[in-house]
Amino acid sequence: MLAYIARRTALAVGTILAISVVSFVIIQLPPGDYLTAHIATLRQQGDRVSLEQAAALRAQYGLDRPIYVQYGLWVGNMLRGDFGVSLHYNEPVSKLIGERLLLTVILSLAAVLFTWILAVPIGIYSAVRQHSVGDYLFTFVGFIGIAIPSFMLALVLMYGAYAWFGLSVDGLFSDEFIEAEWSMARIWDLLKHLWVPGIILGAAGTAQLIRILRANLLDELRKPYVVAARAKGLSLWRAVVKYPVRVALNPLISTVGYILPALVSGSVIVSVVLNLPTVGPLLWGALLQQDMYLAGTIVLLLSTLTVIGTLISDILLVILDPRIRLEGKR
Amino acid sequence: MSRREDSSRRLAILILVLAVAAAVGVGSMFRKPMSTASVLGEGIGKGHSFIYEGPMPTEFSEAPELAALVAKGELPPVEERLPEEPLVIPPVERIGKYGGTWRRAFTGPADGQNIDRLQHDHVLYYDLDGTTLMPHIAKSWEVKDGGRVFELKLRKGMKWSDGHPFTADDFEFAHNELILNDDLVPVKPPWLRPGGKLGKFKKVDETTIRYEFAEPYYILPRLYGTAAVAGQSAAGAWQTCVYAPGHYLKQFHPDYASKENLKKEVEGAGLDNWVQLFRQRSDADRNPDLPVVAPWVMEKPITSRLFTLKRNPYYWAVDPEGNQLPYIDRITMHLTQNMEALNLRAMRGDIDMQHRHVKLADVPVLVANADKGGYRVRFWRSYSGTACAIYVNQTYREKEIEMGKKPEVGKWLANRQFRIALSHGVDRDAINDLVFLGTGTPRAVLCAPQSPYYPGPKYEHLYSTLDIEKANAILDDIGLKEKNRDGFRLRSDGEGPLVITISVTGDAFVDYAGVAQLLAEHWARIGLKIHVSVLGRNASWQRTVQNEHHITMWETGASDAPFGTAPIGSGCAYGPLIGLWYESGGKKGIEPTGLFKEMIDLYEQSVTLPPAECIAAGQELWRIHAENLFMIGTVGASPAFNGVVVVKKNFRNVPDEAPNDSALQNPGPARPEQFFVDN
Repeated sequence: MLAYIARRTALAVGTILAISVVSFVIIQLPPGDYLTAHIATLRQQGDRVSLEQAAALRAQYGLDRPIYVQYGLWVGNMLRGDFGVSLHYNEPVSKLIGERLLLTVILSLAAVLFTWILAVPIGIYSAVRQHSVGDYLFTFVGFIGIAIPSFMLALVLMYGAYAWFGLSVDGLFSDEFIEAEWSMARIWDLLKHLWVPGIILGAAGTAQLIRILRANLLDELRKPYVVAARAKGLSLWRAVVKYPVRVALNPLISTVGYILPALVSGSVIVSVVLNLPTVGPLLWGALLQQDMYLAGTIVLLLSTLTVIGTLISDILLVILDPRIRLEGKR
Repeated sequence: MSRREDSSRRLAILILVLAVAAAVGVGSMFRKPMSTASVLGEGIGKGHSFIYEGPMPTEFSEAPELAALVAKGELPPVEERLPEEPLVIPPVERIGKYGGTWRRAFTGPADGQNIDRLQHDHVLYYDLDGTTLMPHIAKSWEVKDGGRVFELKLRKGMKWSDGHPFTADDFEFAHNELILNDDLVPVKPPWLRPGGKLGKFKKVDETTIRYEFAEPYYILPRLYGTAAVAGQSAAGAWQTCVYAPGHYLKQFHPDYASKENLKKEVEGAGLDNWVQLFRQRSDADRNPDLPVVAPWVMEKPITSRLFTLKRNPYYWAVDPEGNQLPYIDRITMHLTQNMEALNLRAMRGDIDMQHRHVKLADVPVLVANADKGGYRVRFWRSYSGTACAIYVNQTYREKEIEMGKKPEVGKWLANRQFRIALSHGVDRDAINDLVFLGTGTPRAVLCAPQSPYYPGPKYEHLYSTLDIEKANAILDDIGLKEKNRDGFRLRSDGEGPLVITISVTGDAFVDYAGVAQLLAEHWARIGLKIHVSVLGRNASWQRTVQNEHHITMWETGASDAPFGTAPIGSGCAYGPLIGLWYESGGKKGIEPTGLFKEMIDLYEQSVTLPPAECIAAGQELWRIHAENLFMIGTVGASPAFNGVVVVKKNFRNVPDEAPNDSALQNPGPARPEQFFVDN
């Protein structure tokens, strides 16, 4: 087991390095650079900047250097713990990402918790009581959950909350806590705001997970070992939960690693709509502005977290799924 | 099938039916009828002028929060904080009350204009009519020596927000140490080098400064009132502002600070070099310690999620009763990256006054919720003659040659008759009704009629009426008679139908993508196959600069500065290569001939001509545009661009109509320092 983890870790480092090259190149691929993006933004707002000014600034920012030189500088500094300066914010990247990353992780956990707490029991119930009224009801709600884009759900919820209850549901904090230092009061305020984005971000996943769990479990339930267990007199719930559910949970665990990147890149629109101070909108803005040090660092961080998440999920699977054996072990 | 399964299936169907019914019901609740609430207003501020002619107030008072600080001895009394001759601003409606918070929303660190326009710390500025130049930071100005010398008188005793005197030294510092420093300002601001020759700066005495130019430069005072020169809020971050707080900034400048200290500061901020540090420290939106002369001082920077400002205790303007302005204590701006969410915030009544990012398309919903949200909606119609001009690329031909093709699309785009046909094919009323909700005026590409540069009503609709027959006749005539089975005209080189691409950005205040779709329909009626390409703003801009577009859309720019429509920069969307030629001093691009040369000449003359002749040159420029349609006008004088204003009912002194013009930095000309919250 230890050797397995060590080998996987070594592979992970290589993967991350490869990702850093690819992400840096991809960020540079669109025509133009940070300065042209900046000028386009200013122009959209009714400002005018001359391109000769841009050319002079380009040299100042070092954007006229070849891409491999820029990459080398970036990675070199990063190894020394310096993630570079965001061109757009004119602030160190690490300072920008700090709290947002923490909030993103908290929000991911909230969404995952919501998803699992709801999806696992419902999925089991739907499979065991296939074709029952409850199953149909959950299936129906589930399909709606899959079909509605989450940003749409967010907009409708925001409008509804205002139109019928006079509530504002955007953001993760009340006004007085937005820029405050961390304190018990701020954590409590965060918890009060967390449920709306948690539900919205978790909704689509919940519906999907219910379907997956139901299908997997139905496959398992028909297998002879379940029938045998039942025939031997094991109670229904005990027979189901002890073996088939463990097997059916496999897809849940193996996708743990993707939750974070999905939340950051997949739900950018929701985060923008709901005004969530997460990494998603920051990454989106950085890509639009071609702010490569900021975008590159976020992509790299996410990749690192994904790789670590995958590693964790693989290890969990070994523990959870009785059918998995490590190579070379008999 | 068992009985149980059967009944559950029936239940499932019932649920489905109920769900559909519920969905329909919810949908209908969103479709509230538009109320009759007017967006025109009662004429608040109509004919108002901020030029004060009454007696100078002799006694001064201040906001209670400042009075408390004075009582505690933490702040000098108001008389000492104000200059000897403060600017007197007559309020739009009535003398205001002190206090309150002005709640707004912004979209992120690139949205600096959101606050710059409220601060409007220009040296000279425009009155509410948008055309009369008047004193602002400077007490007066004078143009001498046949237009070669421009002299400004400052207010004696005026102070920065930290209490330090504001004098001619601050102009001298900005000029010598920032603008002339090649690291900070590698390219000198265009306004300072008319005809390519850099002007000279001279400090005459503590309150008098002077610029000297080789050639007459009559237009300079007017530029001083616009975004071209701008104030510290807008231009300080790029060090091109004409004044700067030297007493504060010297500690970050290598000519004054010790090397070790500066190095320490740079590293402490996590930056790479002193230029980055200086940019950050001189940026009024990012550095709360930076002294300013604007009505409000930043507290929490624009990189926060709640961007806040508080009153400047040393602000140098008063109302006619001697009350120091601004009336409003603080401004708080919420980070709201999505325009729908921002408009929802307005609808909830959580925005006190704002026009930036308020979408024209949302006006019906905004108006429907106006009573509930406790606000009014007003239109500030654009000064730019056309919020949505069709730019026809005159240098696309060169792109086709570059790609090794025989010019075909470029050939037609450069054909004046072809452009006249295009213009006659545009159904401007439909665009006005569908995209501009009927708020605009269908017209040719011209400045606004109230502009002095307006060439006359006979150009108002020149070639700009819907006339499909005429358009078809012209196209038949010029060699595009052949059509394919679908009725689309064929290229003259035999390579299928003539396909023209309209590339626009979907990311602008005006719905260009919507207009482009309509144009595709309109031009199909004259047998032209149109492809619409909607791009992100950077991609769209890149396409323009790289001369890759056939046709694009944008506003035409300010009516007060017509010469920007000459092909003088590579951003010139109707002739990027000509603009590039001018911008690069003839090194790149293609040399302008004919009308393009004429327009560039007019632009160059405009700098030196005395005002009356300058106006004639401006009219000539618009005449060339109206007759040649390098830009085709669609709908003008609409509030779509930065002009849908949401104002809370208790938020007073906001005029119902004010200049809407990027160059004038609205809502600045409405003087935000005299807005107040009535309870």
